Amino acid sequence: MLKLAIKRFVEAILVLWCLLTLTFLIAHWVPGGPFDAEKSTSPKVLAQLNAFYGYDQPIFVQYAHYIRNLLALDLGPSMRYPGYSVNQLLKRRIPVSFELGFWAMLVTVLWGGTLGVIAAVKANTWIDRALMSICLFGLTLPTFVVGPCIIFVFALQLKWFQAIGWNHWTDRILPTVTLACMYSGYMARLTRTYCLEVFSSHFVSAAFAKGLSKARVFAFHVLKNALAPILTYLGPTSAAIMSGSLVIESLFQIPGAGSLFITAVGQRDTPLLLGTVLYFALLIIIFNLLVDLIVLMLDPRQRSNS
Amino acid sequence: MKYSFPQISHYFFQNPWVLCNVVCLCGIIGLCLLGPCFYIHDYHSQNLLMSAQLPSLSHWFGTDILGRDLLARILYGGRTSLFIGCAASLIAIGIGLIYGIISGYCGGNVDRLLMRIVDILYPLPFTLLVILLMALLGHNITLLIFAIGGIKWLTMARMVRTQILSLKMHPFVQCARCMGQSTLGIWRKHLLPNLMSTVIVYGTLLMPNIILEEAFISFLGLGIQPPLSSWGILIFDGARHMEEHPWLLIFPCLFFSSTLFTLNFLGDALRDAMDPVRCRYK
Repeated sequence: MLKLAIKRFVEAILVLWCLLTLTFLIAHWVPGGPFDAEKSTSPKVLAQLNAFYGYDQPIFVQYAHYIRNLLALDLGPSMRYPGYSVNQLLKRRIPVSFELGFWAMLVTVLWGGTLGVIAAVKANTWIDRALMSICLFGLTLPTFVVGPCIIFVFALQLKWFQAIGWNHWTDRILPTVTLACMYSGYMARLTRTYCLEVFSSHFVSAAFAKGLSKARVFAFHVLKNALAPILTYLGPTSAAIMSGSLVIESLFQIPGAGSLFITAVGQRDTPLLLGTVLYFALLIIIFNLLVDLIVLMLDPRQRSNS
Repeated sequence: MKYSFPQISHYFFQNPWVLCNVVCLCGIIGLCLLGPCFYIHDYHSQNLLMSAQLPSLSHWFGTDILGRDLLARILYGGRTSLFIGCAASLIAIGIGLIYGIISGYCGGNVDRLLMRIVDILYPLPFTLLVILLMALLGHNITLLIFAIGGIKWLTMARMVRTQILSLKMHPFVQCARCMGQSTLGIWRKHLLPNLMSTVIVYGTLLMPNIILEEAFISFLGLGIQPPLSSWGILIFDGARHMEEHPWLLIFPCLFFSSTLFTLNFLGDALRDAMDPVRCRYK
């Protein structure tokens, strides 16, 4: 277990390093800079700005400087928001993104999981077929289709919720539903497939032969064994939910990390860009690590192997 | 392993829903490809006097804010979206196939290294990099296709590798090797035909995924640029004006969602038709 954790940790560092370097190179290699403005800036001011942020130095010096600061957990100053450091910006935005992601994941797991289990229990009946069709339909409605429609119906026509903003707790409902809609479809289909796969194995027949009720077999034998592959899927899904939140944040005007990323890309704010990419990558890596460890704990065979 | 066309068509004709779905999909594709040739309006000519008209006889789906015919824009956008979907899928499938075959066929340390790379790349937020590339390098359709194709091959590589691992142990492959068939010959004559079912099923499921990705990037304003149209842009435009002109949002969403739905449904049906094991659970 410890060996695995160390191996994973080294891998994660390697991945982060590759990703950061790639982003750094792309950001430096492309045309356009953070000080390009509609009004032309005088060369003198431009030179001073470049010198202040260290942009007049060769790229590997800048890179070494960035990595050195990063090791001290300093992500550098932001250019789009003068006077703020990237650390401060991220510290303010990340909790918002995190909250949205958390609610969406919760709804996905509960709603999608429940639908999937119901469909599996009632396999090959009309209930199963109806549920699966609904889920397939949900799959084809990405966030940027559901979002505007939901805003139109519930905020603009019925006026139950605010269309945009992130102040009151009711502001959380529409973005969460939008974000969870598509992924709960995936989740339900996946849960159904794995439950049925486990359902056809011998130990389930044995449990039935012992005279256990269907509910008991499902709760204690099938679900427990179907959990591992579903969890493995949830790791990458967290990544998808986070990148899906880019759209949600721009639709609902939520001050989260996703909109920060879009701003950073648009304004060529390299330190901010690197900071947000680092955040997204870290999140995904941590999620995957957690899922791996949980799967390891669930499955006694894998535990004894490692 | 190898599936004949009659077998698949037999399955399709037995399931009226699947058949209906195929007809719908062909209808959408046909409309998008041929429609603009026959429809009198084109996608880019503006007429501010006819701005944001409701659907009528002359403009079947109404017009947008700049007075461009919405149906023409949807059909033309469909061409763009479907083209990007096809081209990027082909690139992803090509890379995945070659990578998977090399990894599975060579085995040993090569396999271990190649699969390790896939494992490491798998969870990375590549969509961010595509957005970054599009935003920084300009809105280039070729670049968009290659960028999306370049990030979607990982699953394909894994699936192909698993298939190859079992295929290469089959007597006919061993036999071909003993008879002195070259490695490339074995790949082409014995492995590729047996991989076709995986490729077709996964390709059908990959396409909606890629169309979605393109629409997502266009929705953020970073993909295809106006006056060119794609479904992502049309939905984005519709979302901006939905309060006053809801049909600008509804019609593109309808086309977009039904295409995704039919493609996904077709992929599932193909998988069931070709994979008797999975069919058991159906």
